[in-house]
Amino acid sequence: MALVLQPGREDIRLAWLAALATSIHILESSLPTPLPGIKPGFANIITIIVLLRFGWRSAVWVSLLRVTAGSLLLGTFLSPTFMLSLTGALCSLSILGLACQLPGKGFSAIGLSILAALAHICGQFLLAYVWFIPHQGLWGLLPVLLSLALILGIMNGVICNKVIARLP
Amino acid sequence: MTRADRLLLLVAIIAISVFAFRTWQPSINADRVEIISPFEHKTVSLRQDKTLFVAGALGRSEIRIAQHRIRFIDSPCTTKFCVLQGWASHSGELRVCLPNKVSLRLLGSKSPFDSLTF
Repeated sequence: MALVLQPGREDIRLAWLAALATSIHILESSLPTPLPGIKPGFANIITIIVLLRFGWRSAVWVSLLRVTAGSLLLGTFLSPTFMLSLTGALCSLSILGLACQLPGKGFSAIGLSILAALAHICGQFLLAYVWFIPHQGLWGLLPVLLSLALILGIMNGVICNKVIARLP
Repeated sequence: MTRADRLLLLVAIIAISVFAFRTWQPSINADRVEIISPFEHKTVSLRQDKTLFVAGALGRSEIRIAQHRIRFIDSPCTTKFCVLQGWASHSGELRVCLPNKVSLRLLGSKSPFDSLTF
């Protein structure tokens, strides 16, 4: 008996958004970086926009699909790169989930993007420290990474706002 | 930007600055060295000048302690990277000879970090 899965409107929309995020993820991976671990994180723009328009559950789907599909296409699935990527995504999604609970106006795209970027790098750093390089010297790098995450988070937040303003 | 955004930005800038300031303290002079090889694992004081021989995977590494510093003088390895690394004197520094599997880790009486929390 054939099992037929009927995708709903929601599923199709999520798939399109995840595909968009994956494309950005892959384009971004071809950019040269001055330091390993530093990436503009443009794919997170999609996550934030989805979060603001369709809610946290959709953002989780899009973000995790992006990490999985992106790693499959780049050939890093289940490698340390993938683990770092996944940890970063899970950390930023958890923080975003909490940030959305804030009463009142709460955070705008800029605040959410900063939180996501900082949580992302903290999670990745801790995984790298615990798993790959448990050396005290690594902590010297964290302030640099956090500063860059803050700057890139603000930048992505501004881009988010511009994109949201143009959306119908 | 909402009020929460501005507050977050302020807190993040302060937290990162404080963290950077605390992390990048000048390093502390070491007073002991931890010597690790396949046959030995010991801690030696740097206060006394002396020459040590440590048995490694390939043979004996010659290590010199002088004026609270330490370095490899000679090693049975072919590349001699360990010797070329020169003197080490600060807590947390490492001198390693991979082929001979001998490593020196300098320890200070105080850890270079008071505490690390998130």
